[in-house]
Amino acid sequence: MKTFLEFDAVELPDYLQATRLRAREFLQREYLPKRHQFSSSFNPEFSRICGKAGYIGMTWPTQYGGGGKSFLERYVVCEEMLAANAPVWAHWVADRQSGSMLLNHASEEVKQNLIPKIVAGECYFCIGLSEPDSGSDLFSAKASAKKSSEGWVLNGTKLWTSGAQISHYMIALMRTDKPSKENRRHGLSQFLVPMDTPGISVRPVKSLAGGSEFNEVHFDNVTIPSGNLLGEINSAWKQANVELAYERSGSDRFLEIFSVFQELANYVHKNPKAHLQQALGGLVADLYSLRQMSLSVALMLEQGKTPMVEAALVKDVGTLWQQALPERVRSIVGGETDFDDQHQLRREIDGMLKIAPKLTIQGGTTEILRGIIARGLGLR
Amino acid sequence: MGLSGTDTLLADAVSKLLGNISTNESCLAVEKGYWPSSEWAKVVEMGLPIAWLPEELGGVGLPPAEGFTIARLVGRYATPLPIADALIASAIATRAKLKLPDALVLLGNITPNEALVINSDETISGRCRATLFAKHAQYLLIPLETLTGSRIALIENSGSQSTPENNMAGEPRCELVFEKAKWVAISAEDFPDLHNIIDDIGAVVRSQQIAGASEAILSMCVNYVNQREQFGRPIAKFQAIQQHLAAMAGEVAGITCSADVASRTLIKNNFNSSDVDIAIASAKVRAGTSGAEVIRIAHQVHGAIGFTEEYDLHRFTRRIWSWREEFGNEMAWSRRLGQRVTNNKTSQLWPLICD
Repeated sequence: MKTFLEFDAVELPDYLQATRLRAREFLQREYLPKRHQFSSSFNPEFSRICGKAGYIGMTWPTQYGGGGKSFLERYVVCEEMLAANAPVWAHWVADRQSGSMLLNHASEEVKQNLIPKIVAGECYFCIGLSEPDSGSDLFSAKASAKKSSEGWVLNGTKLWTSGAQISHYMIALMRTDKPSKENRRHGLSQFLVPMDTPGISVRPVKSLAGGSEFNEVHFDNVTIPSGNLLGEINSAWKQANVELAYERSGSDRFLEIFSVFQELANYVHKNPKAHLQQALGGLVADLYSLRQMSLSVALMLEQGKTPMVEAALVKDVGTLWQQALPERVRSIVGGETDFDDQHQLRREIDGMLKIAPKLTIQGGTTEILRGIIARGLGLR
Repeated sequence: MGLSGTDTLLADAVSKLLGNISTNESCLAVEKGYWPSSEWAKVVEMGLPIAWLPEELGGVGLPPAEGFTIARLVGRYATPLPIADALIASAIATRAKLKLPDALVLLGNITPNEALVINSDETISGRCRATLFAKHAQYLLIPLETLTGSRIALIENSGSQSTPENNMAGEPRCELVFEKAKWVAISAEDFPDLHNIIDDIGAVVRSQQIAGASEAILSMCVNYVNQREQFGRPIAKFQAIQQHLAAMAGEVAGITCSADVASRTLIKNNFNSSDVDIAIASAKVRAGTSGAEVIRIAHQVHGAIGFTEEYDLHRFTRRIWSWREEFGNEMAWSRRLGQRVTNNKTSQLWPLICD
């Protein structure tokens, strides 16, 4: 009988416990005592502190300033950061995927110039994928790059680009050719775009949560050097697989709103009633198993595999779980007599409810992920 | 499966045997009270019920991971025989260092507050609650409370059977009442945490069985939707069906991965038990909650045929319903896990989850 998906039971090697404890000490020292000073989760000051501590680009080659560490070491540090709700989002994208993308596909000059800056926590990236008329249907993207005597000329609009207003670079998906009859994914290429290039305008889009983490980015005859093409022309779809596996399977897919869960635990710890303990325990069991699945994919990535379907699956179950979390916490404590509007837990629930709707949209919607899983099952 | 160090040759041989003897017909026959003795003889010949028991105690002494593989396969084929139950009993016998006779030995189903008692003449009285396949067992292992602590006793199955009642899968169970029964052997050691040990081992074995049944259901669904045509094409081509089965794959992966992690934890701890183990609790909770979701989706994509006795799905569905209740259901394990959080000095969740 075919079993379709393999999620091996992973046991983290012992040396990682030391890595974990060091990260915890770092957070104790550098973040937790002054956490109220870090008003935004996009926080260059904290990113530089992380850079100094060697917590950015941990897996990258030492010749570019990277840490030369294993993927699992990075995994452990990331989950400690997220569980502490540390303001890591300024350098997050560069560290999670853009840096590796550059190492694989950029010129030597670009690598030598940019990787050390990323590692120092001073250079941030955003990813230009969606457009006003291309969301889940990414391969219909229209923003274009045309070859000119000076390099590439970019025109068009990217939308929902997280962090564009604070990023130094975008890795942009641009049309360089029409789709071919045989392959509708043909014709898109990836470019390294300095965000201070003339012709780029960034308009923050205010979200229902009150912030403006995503943006509309407009390109009006933006000229970038010819060396800024990343990898092979017209073949972005081939290059995206590994990047997506990293993007989708990480612990941010179930720890992004961990703070509401911790507040629930604090509440139940003070009010150890049986029904509250049972509800809390059920959620703990869920999170434990999600983490084990994510670890399993992390190990495959460490071994050099590209577990596309497994990564999509981890993101699907992880984001659905964390999306439901604030609502579930609300239903667990909402009827308790001592629970009122002034409660810290109430503030957490309200805050996370506002973030929840986007969790199953960013980085691939539930429906797109399930399409990938269905293909893995042999249904498409 | 995802447990390292398992032998594929053994798994293939077990799969072949269980595949042959586990049919819809054989399951339905067992529900009507038939005991498949020739099939059981083949299972015994392969040593499956005593896979975990060391040779010096009368067993085969396979590596611990193999026992979990066998439990997974029992679930995958919905085998209507007490293989997993005998495995659980043999694990307890191993812990108690009791030599087992060459016969079917099962664990008497006792909760801590209704322990059997040992009389002044060293005989045993009391009752075992509904025990699966108990009427076919020649011997029972039962937890006993004595003046000097908890013990495991091996007794002949001479108890009178009362209130036979099948489980959700239609497998026979009955209550056993003992009046001055004589024990054959009794453990020398005190087991202060005996009921935890039984629940831990039982919960992980049941989680593996549910994992196997869930894998079988997913496979069955994929085959069905690729073959079944409606509106002029296989229903697999409809997005609604694809989304259903992708969601099911997530649930199945959660169950199988958690069951393997819990199995590895038990192996690492040498089948000992202390505090509520988060890996074990998580596996049984996941098996229960995700198992229900697997069942819901499987029946939805199958339509009416899945609701029949003639189609194979029901024997997996009903076994998951049975197994999730045994050795602590998801609510019981959630409560224990929640209690563990609140019994800690601090309320910090993260170290509990990852350390």
